[in-house]
Amino acid sequence: MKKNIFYRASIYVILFIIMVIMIVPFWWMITTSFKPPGEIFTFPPTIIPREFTFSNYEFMWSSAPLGRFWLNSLLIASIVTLAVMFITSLAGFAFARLDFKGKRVLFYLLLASLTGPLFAILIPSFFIISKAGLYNTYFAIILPYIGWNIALPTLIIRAFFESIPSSVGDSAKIDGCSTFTTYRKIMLPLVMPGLVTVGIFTWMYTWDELAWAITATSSMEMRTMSAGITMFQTQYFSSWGPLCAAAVFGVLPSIILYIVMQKYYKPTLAVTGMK
Amino acid sequence: MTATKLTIENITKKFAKVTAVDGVNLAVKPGEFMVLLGPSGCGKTTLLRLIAGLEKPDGGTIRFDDRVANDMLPKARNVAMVFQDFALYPHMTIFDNMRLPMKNLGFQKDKIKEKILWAAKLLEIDDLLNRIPAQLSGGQKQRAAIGRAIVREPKIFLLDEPLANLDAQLRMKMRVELKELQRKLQVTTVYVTHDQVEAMSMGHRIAVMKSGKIRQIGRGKDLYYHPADKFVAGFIGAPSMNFFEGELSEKGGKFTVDVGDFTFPLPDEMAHMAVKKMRESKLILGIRPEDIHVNALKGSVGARVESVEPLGTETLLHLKFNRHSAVVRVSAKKEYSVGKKVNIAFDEDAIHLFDGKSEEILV
Repeated sequence: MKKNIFYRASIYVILFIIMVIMIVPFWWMITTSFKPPGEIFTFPPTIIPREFTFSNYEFMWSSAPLGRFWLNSLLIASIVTLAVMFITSLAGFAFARLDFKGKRVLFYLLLASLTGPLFAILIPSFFIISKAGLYNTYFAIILPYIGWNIALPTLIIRAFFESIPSSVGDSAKIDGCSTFTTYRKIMLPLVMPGLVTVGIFTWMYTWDELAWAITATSSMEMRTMSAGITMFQTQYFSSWGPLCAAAVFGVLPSIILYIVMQKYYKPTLAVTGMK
Repeated sequence: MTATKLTIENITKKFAKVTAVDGVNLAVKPGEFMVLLGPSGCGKTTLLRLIAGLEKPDGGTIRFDDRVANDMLPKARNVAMVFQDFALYPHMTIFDNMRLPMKNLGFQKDKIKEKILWAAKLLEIDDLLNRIPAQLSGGQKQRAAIGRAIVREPKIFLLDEPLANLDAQLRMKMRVELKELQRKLQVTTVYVTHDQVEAMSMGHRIAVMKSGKIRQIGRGKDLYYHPADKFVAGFIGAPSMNFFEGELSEKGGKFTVDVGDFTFPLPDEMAHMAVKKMRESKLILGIRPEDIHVNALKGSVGARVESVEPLGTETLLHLKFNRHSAVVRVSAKKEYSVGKKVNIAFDEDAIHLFDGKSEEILV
């Protein structure tokens, strides 16, 4: 009993430390965005701003077209996320449930595509996009993002499809469902939690990605939120207050998305009642 | 609707190097309840899946009435299947589970509702139609799965160990209900099980399978009293038939079987029939637990009681000879204790003789 209490207590201590590590940067970012420049680097730091100000937000809004950046990011992240969810659900279904020629080779190719780091393919991708005449367009960002986000999610979704008992698929066949109907009406609803997970991760990747976003575009109109935030940081000077304000503004959609989608984040087959 | 005749001719199915179904012939009469019985891996489920169209045969023909069904899709065959794990669609209500096959088969909307309500009432699940499978108990899920199978008016019912996931009491109840349901609907049914009690109690006829082949087809009683070989004799009946390997010998026109622990004198007629069929002197003597009499006076053989299993209405005695052992069914009224010496005698009329090599029945 005593050992048990000690065990539980130590778990809570560890969880608390992790929580602090996670929350402090967030808290720092939010409070800094409301602090006047003089208060940002005072020591000891103020946990709650002594003086609340919205000047950072005003400065942020007036000095860069952040609204445009924000909408660009929203558009790109939405399209990429939906496309990745759609493609990986089909690919995952095919790899898990269908037999076709070349399935193994295709699967190994998919695995192989996981091994290249982003920076190794950045320049080749840039050349492809330029030659295709897509440089500095939405497509220049969207198409590679989709391509880079197919492999791992497909593996995840494939595992979800595989966890559905084969008898459910057989039953659908006997009940007169075509392969596509089986995918759409029977299997897809069952892998939805996995798909939502994949969607959230894709969204976060797309929203946060910087290297490609600034490589593939040059004009202000095409810049994304993450690229926009870097504008407050130059070689010699960082405007920490407006930068944090922009970061708060930028992180909001991801937080809202996560909260809204959280309810789909539950284990699939625990709710299926197969046995 | 008239019931469908199912004919299976020389069906073979291989998976890589394993032959799961090996030249099976089976004719199921219209409206018949046929049970495929056998141990795990004997090919009974594969045969069912071949009938359903979930597997393609490597050889042979499957006919529904006179139509060859080999290349027909499962949908076109209009068979209904109930799976061991029920295979209900987890995200759909029971109503929608039942509606899906009917919708796919083009039933009218009114007819769909009418049939679902009819089936739900018949299976006493009418108050569960708006629930999803996870909200049902095992027995209720089972009924829902059966409901989904019957609403579509299938030509053939295929049931793959549908009672295996239920507890013993519910299994017994569902056994009776399923049999009654099949009698009412008069749909040709193929039922797969490894449980010989289920097979005996439910099927009009039973096909016993082993290693992809059908060993014997017949009524439960026929299989029990007239098994075709040692496998069927051992598989049907619980506890299993007792077997004694021995040699046939003749002395002055009288035949005896020497099993090592004892010799058993064979009745003349039986001996002559056996001798006609057997290829060598080795044979197997088989006798059911209820055909061994304990504390008999005539022709007694000595044995020791090794364990006693009181089952309420009867008691099972596990007896040990020198080399062999046997199970005997005795009245529960008498008390037996472990270690006690008893005399036993075999009921001559109930003896089965099997060939020592082919294990086929001799007498």
